[in-house]
Amino acid sequence: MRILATYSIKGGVGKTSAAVNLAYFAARSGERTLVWDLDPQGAATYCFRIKQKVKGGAKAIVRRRRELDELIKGTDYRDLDLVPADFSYRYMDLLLDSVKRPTSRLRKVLKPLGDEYDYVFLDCPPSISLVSENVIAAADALLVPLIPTTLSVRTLDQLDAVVAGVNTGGVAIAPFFSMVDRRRNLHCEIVSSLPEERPEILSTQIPYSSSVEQMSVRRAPLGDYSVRSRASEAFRSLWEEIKGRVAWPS
Amino acid sequence: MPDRVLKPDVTMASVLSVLGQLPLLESVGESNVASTLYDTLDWRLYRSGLILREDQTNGSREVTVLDRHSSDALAGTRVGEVPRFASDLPAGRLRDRLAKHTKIRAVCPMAEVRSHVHRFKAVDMNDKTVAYVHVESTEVPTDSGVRRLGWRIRVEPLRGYDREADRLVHRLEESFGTTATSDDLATRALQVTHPDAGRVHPVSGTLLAPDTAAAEAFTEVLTQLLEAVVWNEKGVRSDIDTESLHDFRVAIRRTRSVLAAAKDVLAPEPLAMLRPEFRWLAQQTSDLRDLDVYLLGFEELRSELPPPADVGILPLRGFLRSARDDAFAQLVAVLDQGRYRSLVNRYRYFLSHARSTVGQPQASQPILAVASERIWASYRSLLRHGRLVDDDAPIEALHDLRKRAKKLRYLIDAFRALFPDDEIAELIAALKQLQDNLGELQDCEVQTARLEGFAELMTTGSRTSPATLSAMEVLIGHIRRREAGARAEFAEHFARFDRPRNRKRYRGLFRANLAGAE
Repeated sequence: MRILATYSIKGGVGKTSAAVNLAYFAARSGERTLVWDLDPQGAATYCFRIKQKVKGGAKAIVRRRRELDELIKGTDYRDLDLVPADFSYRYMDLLLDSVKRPTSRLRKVLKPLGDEYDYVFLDCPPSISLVSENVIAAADALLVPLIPTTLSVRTLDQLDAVVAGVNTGGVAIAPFFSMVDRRRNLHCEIVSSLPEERPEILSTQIPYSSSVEQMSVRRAPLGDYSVRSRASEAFRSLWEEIKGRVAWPS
Repeated sequence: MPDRVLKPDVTMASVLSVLGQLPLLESVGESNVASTLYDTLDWRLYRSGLILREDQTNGSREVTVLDRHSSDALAGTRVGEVPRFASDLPAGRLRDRLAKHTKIRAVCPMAEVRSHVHRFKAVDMNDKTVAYVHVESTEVPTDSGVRRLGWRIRVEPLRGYDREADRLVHRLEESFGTTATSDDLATRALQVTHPDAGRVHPVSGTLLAPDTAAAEAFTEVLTQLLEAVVWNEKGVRSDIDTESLHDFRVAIRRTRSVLAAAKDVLAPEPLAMLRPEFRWLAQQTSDLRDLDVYLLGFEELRSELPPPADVGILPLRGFLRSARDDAFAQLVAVLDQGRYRSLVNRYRYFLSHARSTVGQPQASQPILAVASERIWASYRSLLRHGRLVDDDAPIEALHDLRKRAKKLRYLIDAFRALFPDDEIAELIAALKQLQDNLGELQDCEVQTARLEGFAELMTTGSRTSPATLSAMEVLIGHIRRREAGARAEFAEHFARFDRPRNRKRYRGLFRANLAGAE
């Protein structure tokens, strides 16, 4: 089981659409896939038309009163399941702080699912917190959406600093350009220059697209209603590129 | 949560018409599904309450391990083609589940199931799918035509939506006036194609009362062994995996051991005729088994070779495969021969009359006393010869000892039901350690000789690269070192077998009965 987290310190960069669509294409390619919507806002949960509620809330998960296995919901798509968001996740930091070895708790909670899923996508809230430290410690790779602006470099530098402060099992950082608007010169410039400076940036770019915005209206992944759109194609290619990253630690 | 099955007492057409009108239920089409049920030749999955099902729909192929009774999917994956062995599958739950039960055996198709399925999805108020409803009619093609297994409604809940599925089942029950049931569809399908599904011929463990007359007990054991020979012969011919041949050989060897022990119990003339014939039959299977063993262990052997020998050795595998094909064809020819058929027929005739043998000194003695005497004598002989083997003993002495250990083992196996199971298990465990050591010595000896023979054949028959021959030399050296290691360990293994605790156990189990019988 590989754990991939869509993570960014900034909000509104396309984390949830990446988690939902990458998980959809992973499942389509036959991988047994789970999305865990860790964001109390529950956008990923909403996209799959699933009720935003977890029995016992965050406390039951963090204190291991309930196994994650019991909370999983099947989506409408084959091989794709979801652990829903819950409003109580907003207190997860406090709950994590109260347990022994707080930064490794999420990994421990996910461990029993090792045989059941090939890929787990963690859709994380935008923050630097104990939850994000847990995510970094649990993940094999952080998928970091970058809107191509001058602040992108700063975001990556900040992320490096955060990751350096967490005891990880060798997490890979895989940034990719998100919401790329080719009509904007700045976007074009950054998309062509930044990868020279940061070679870890994945080559697939996700274009800015109204079809992505439609996800919250359609309540479905792009592949369900707009499979031929450029954005859908881009997520499919991004998934292929991510899957091909064989150098990631197992 | 398992699927729910309903079998309404109305027509399928009326059910389909009602389902089409229920709120929050929408049709998602109909399709033909072809499934094949797989198991090992000796029904390992069936006997564990499981079955492997392959489903083909719209060009995609999926294999699933099912609980045979509830039809619950326990693990599954999409595949390009159905694996023969568990090891052919990618790592994961399905492979683990299958490997646990099938082990070294291959799976083969046992029954075909054809279904026509009308599919509906049940949604909640958010238009989220919570369950699928399948209305499916099923039939099984057989040699004598198609057998219909009827139709049913199956409710398949999505994970985490058990309550919603229960409510749906309740609605369906109200609509059709029926209650949810369980439907062992896989078992029913298998029983149509294989009325003896799940049945295997035991190669040991025949139940015997201790006071049964020896002639009757020997005949019973030999009859079971003959059935095992004949049953495994089918597997040998089909060549699905290597285990059928292994089991065929074990049944023959056990037969030979029990026939040898039947002196003074069964009539001597038939025994004198049968024993050399079974010896001949065993010899006919040796070549193929040796080559199977080579091929099964080839990757392991190769992994022990240093580069470049690990690559240089690869052409040997092709040679072995081709030699195996020849050996298989030869064995099948033997099984088709009149000599084999005649042996089986004459032997069956002999056994059908042997039960009531009279005139032999021990024919009517209780089997407990006779079996104990034979096992005790075999054990004593093994001890006597083993104690004579020292570090300077020739290899032939060790091979002789291996045969004696096997004889003892087969006798214990044949009559183990007469003795307390836990004590016999411990006794066999101790004997097995010695057998493993002696077997390793024998394997190394045979492998070295065969490799030298192969090298000669490969150089004369075709152009074999010097790299391959040199890799074979490295391999021979490697096997010789293994042989030397096994030889050095023999004394320790034998001493463990000959320790006082083990001797006491043999005395207690076998000699005690002997004294009582006198």
